[in-house]
Amino acid sequence: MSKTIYPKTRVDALWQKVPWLLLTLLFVVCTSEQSMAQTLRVEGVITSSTGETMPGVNVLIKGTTTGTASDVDGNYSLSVPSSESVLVFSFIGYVTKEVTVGNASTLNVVMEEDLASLSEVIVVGYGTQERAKVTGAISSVGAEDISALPVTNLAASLQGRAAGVAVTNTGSPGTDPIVRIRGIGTVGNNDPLYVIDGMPAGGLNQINPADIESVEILKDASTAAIYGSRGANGVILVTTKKGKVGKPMVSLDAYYGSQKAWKTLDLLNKNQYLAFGTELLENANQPLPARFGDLGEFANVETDWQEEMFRTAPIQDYNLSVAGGTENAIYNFSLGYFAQDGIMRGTDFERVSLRSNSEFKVNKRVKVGETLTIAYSNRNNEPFSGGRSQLEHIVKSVPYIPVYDDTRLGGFRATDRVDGSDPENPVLNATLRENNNQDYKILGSAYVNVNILDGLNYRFLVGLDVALGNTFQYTPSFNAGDFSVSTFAAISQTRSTFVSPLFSNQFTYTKDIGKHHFDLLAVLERQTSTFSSLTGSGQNSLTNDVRELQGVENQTTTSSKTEYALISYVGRVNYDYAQKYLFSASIRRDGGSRFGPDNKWGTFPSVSLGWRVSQEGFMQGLTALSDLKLRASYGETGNDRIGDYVYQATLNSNLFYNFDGSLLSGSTITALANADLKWETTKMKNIGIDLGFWSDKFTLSFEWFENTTEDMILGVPIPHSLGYDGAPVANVGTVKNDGVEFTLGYQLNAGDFSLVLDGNMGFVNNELISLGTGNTIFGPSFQGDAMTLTEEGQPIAYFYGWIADGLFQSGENTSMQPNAAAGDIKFRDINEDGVIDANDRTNLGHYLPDFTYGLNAKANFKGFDFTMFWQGVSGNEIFNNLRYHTEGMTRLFNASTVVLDRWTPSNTDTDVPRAINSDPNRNSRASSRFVEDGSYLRLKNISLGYSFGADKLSNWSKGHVSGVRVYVSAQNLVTITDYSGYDPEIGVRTGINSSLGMGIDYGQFPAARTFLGGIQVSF
Amino acid sequence: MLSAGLVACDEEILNPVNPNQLGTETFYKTGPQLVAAVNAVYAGLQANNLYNREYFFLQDLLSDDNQSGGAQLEAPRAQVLNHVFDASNPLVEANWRGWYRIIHRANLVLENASQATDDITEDLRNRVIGEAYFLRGLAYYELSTLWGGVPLMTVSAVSPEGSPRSSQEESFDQAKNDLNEAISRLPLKSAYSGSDVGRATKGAAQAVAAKLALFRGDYAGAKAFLSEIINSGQYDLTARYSDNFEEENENNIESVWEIQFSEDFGANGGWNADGTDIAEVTFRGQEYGPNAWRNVIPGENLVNAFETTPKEDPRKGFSFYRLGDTFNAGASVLDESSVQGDNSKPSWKKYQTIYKRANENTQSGINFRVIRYADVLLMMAEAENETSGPAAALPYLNRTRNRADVMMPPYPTAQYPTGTKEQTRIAIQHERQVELGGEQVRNRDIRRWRRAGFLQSEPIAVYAERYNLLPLPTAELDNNSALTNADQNPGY
Repeated sequence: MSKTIYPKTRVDALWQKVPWLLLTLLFVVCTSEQSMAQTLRVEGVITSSTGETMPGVNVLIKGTTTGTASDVDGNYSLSVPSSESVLVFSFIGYVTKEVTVGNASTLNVVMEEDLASLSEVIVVGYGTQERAKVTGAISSVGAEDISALPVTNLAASLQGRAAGVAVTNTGSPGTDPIVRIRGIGTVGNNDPLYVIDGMPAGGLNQINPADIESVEILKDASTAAIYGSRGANGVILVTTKKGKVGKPMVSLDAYYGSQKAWKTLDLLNKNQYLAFGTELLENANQPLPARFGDLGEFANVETDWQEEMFRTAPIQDYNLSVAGGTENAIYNFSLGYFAQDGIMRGTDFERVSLRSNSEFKVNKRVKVGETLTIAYSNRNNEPFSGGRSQLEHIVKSVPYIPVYDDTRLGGFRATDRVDGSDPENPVLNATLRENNNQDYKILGSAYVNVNILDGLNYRFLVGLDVALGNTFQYTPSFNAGDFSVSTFAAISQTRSTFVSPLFSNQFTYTKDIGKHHFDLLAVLERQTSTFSSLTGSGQNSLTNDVRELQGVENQTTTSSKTEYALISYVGRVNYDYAQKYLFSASIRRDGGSRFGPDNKWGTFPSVSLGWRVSQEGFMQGLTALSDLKLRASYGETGNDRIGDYVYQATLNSNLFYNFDGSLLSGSTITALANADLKWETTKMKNIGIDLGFWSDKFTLSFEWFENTTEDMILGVPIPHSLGYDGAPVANVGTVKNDGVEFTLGYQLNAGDFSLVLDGNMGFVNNELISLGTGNTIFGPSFQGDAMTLTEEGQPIAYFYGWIADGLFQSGENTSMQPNAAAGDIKFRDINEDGVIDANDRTNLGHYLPDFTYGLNAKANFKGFDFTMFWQGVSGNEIFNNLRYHTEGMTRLFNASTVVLDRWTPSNTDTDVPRAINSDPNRNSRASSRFVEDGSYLRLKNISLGYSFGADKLSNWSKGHVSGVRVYVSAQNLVTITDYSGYDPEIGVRTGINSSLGMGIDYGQFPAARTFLGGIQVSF
Repeated sequence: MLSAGLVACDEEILNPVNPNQLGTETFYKTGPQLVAAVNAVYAGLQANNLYNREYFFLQDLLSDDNQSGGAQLEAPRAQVLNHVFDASNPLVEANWRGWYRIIHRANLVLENASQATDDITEDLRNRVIGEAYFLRGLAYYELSTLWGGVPLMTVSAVSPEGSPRSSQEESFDQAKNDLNEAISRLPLKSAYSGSDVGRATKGAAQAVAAKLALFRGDYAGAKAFLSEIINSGQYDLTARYSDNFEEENENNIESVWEIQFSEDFGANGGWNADGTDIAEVTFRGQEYGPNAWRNVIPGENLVNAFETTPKEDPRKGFSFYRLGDTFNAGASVLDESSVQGDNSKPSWKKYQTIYKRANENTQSGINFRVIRYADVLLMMAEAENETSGPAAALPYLNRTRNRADVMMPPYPTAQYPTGTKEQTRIAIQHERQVELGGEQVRNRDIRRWRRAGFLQSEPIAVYAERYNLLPLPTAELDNNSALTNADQNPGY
């Protein structure tokens, strides 16, 4: 695991100064009278190992209560009784130092950072906390790891970095990865909550990963319950880079790389296609397409559609930042540009982002600050036409059809009637059809911090998340073949606006009474959001040149608006005794607009305990054991991720019927409402152990958790006989996720050589405990077969279907399957009743891996740095539905070379069934035939860099350049998997019940294999 | 700290009003709202699940009116055509779902009709209730004749729980009662004008009721409904046979019940399974068209059924295109390169739009003439033949042959004698086959005659006993808590 180290001086320098100044004054007052009796006076400057002066360092004469603290410039001055006196210098996060005074009157001290876990301060909900005092389950990922990978979206960079956090990347540029924290807690929405600099917000594609200082992932109730009704799926806290005191530091980072699909499939070539197609049709007594007899103008064409669609695509990223500050103001400005062309034609993503973070100290008690991102992104998406993905068109395209034909309107060629097959030309789709999103994002917060009394602070934070979107979809008129004709240009434009303000009042109080330490928090806040959109569309049959809605026919306009509100009251107590015994409790009360009148309010408590055993006196003999902490927590979190207004029964008035040419509108109720809808509640238990050995050279964390989600929200699939089109959203059942997580760390420092190894591994079990409706829940269906089933006692949404048990051979009895013949698949008679029917469907596997893991190695030798990052999942299955198209042999299209091994009377030793058009035995039904092992291990990243130190650069840079690092890296260089599809990382089709269709491969983009080179320069 | 007060005071924001849609409690209060409610039921007929696409496919593929046009026919459709389908078949599921959507929307009208108080006359209320009964009765007729006993939904569902199957007789009775309610409330066709043309009429309800009675073998019952239609003076045959399948002359004198389509409102919504948005077009032209997808072509039985002596039945030429025929208002000739598959065989002409243009597309605006007066007359012939004998049947049976542009010699003919009731049955069956070919009538005719034992031989070569009833869709069994796989029809 990677951690960000926050020395107190950097993060909370100003925060720290105020009380310590006061304390210093206090000491000065208290000690003045005693000074008369003193014989020796000692003074000096306290600095850190990096040379910065350190204010607020506690200086104590050993064995007494007499002492002082350093001032803002790190100076201290103290009278001591004798030259034998020993001064104890202590500062949180630093190794405590003892110095005998001796004869020196000036004693300058250099404090060493304590690299043990105690020194870390990590971000938690509504504040920060020393890692040593954390009693919950938090994973931290630092800036270096986030920027290591060339990704659009910061969530993608979390993959493999934290135990229990499963990230599935999808290959298309600018598409959101799927993030699941500790399994799937619901059949509804499983996305975690993202909180960016204190502001719950979405739209991660507009956040520049280079601006991120750290990401904290809150996994258990003691950390996530403070986010109440939005915390059940875990919370991801994103902290952007702030300035720090010092002269302006300018840095420039840039990389440029080249991406290529790591894998393509083996598809039939022209001759193989013709032979396959002939057999497919002849077996079904169908006439052959006329073109089969004479290819004519296409006789010499051999198109590799994958070659045409997958390309070598550039990726580039440039970041310029300036950070610095004085005691009264710190700042960080950055400008970023990122551009990625997709490895598949027609897809790309581009982002320009600007960030400004600053904080000002108005006076001793008041600070104001702000964070702001303004970003623009432009994304071209894969066009979906005829409801089919481009990958589906690619694998189905006929190899003797040329891509281009200049003589045709639009310049492309597709099949004709005489070809007997009608895939769309995917290059045409990628080139002529546009599916473009332009998004503008303004995400910012402004706050004022008032130190009311010693230890009592008030923070008022106003956050604003604004997202403006333009969607442009355009298809020109073209004529590429008999079935690939568009007689008009279709234009559709959507403008959307999302505005979400947050007002938050936060009170914190810190108090030490002897060894008792208290941190109290109270928050009162309100977040609202309004989303509105306006869509216009029309057709232009006169020209392809006008792409605006001017002079169009069949013009339509629709608009919609939704509003959301959440009012919250939060309280938290953190207590520790001598940093040894730790206690934390929090409670949040949320009122939300998405639920019915009787269920608007929910209360989410949590409690946790910790014991730092290694701090006990009886442990001091065990020198090898540098850290031992036990933790336990319990709490409740909620999930409100449903649509707005779903509890309200409403009319659908978007229905029309033309009575003899007069268009009249109709209204009816198309969705079953549920006024009793309430929060989904997850009860989370967590037990953790942290271990450190040999001054934390070796660290180990272990977590056990059990999350039980009650009143799980589900869009309940209803029988068609009810006549509704919308599934009612209801609280239907209980699901349990339990598992363990390990995090291991090792560091070695040997002269010029250093090595850091981080590994993590997460195991999770998922089980549906009960389903209130008494029903089983069937997942998405394909060709009439439900592909998943959810039932009590099983993991959510396991793959469901028949078991393929080999092929019928000639002469074999096929009476169990009346439509079967030799060469067809024999399905297993699960209930042994002599017929194969719906009762013979069974569990075919599950998409949740047995475990996920990541391993990161970093080594440094002199100026060289090397990192290697492996990530994998194991023990999951994938429903490879793309094989319906590549191997299903249901209709005349191109296919995978797998079909070359199809059953024929002379090729009987195979598991590939016969080719017969229309598939009478339904060999391509949902069955084990298409369910595969989805395990993989991937070398996500490997990189080698070299840094030129300032000393080496000074000759020519005259001191203007303080550091240069150059590096080369490769992503996805190695993938070890048996999965036969394009990629084992499977995305999901969206929708409220998308969790019921996880792990189904409808045609997954292959991951990009990227080679890139970069340079980082600081001035 | 004043800001603390700003934050939490107004809890009213937790009770937002949906700005996009009306709440149910505020609807069904006025006459126009009630009319909108029943309009929504009609809109369901245009769904992709029903007449936009899957209705005509299911009916036509189950009958011998069609055969495959070639390799391009999608697997689930070919499986229906070849009678190798099971309970997962998407066409079966789509039609089931489409009809239950009609039932649900009709139930909402029926249970809320009494609430409307403003801007409404009792005549209007009565008519709207009649329309809803008609549409629900039509749906139960479709369901009970194809699936047998089905779950009877007579009020809109308030929970996700499903209902159990009733018997086929109970389902028939539900359809019958609904249609009787409709007949008592609906006006004659001539009462409608302007934007009410196309609404359900008394005649349409009587015609469906007659179809149901015939299916149940209640010939006297059917005769009563049919004679009322015939005596109503509302209907006649058009002089030109093709006026029943073209975009012009819709809702004509021969029309008893039509599903309305139009190209005037754009191509959007054709893929919408539920008929939302402006979805006013049908895929029929593109799916069957000779120079379009040509997924299916006329079946051999139908092509061979047309009489050739003393002249070729002109309806054959009106029904089918052959190579060499002109289309596109006479501007184009159908040649080999423009027809895919086995182009020596004829293609559909009924319901194709290329009679007046060069190409089909997925947005045909031609109405489906679901029930024509010709059908009514031939049903009357059948009812008369069964109750009174050939002499009473013949006047009705010969009407369609006497159409101005058909003019086939009247029965009896050498090929189709009508000396006995049995002989007349064969003549009636023949006349229905050639008059109504490709109009989604044949599937249920065969089922009805098979049920009554009237078939000389099984017309569907691939027919097997289990296909007597369609399977309850797997999705229904899976999600309906009141049903298990044991409720499935035999053989699936």
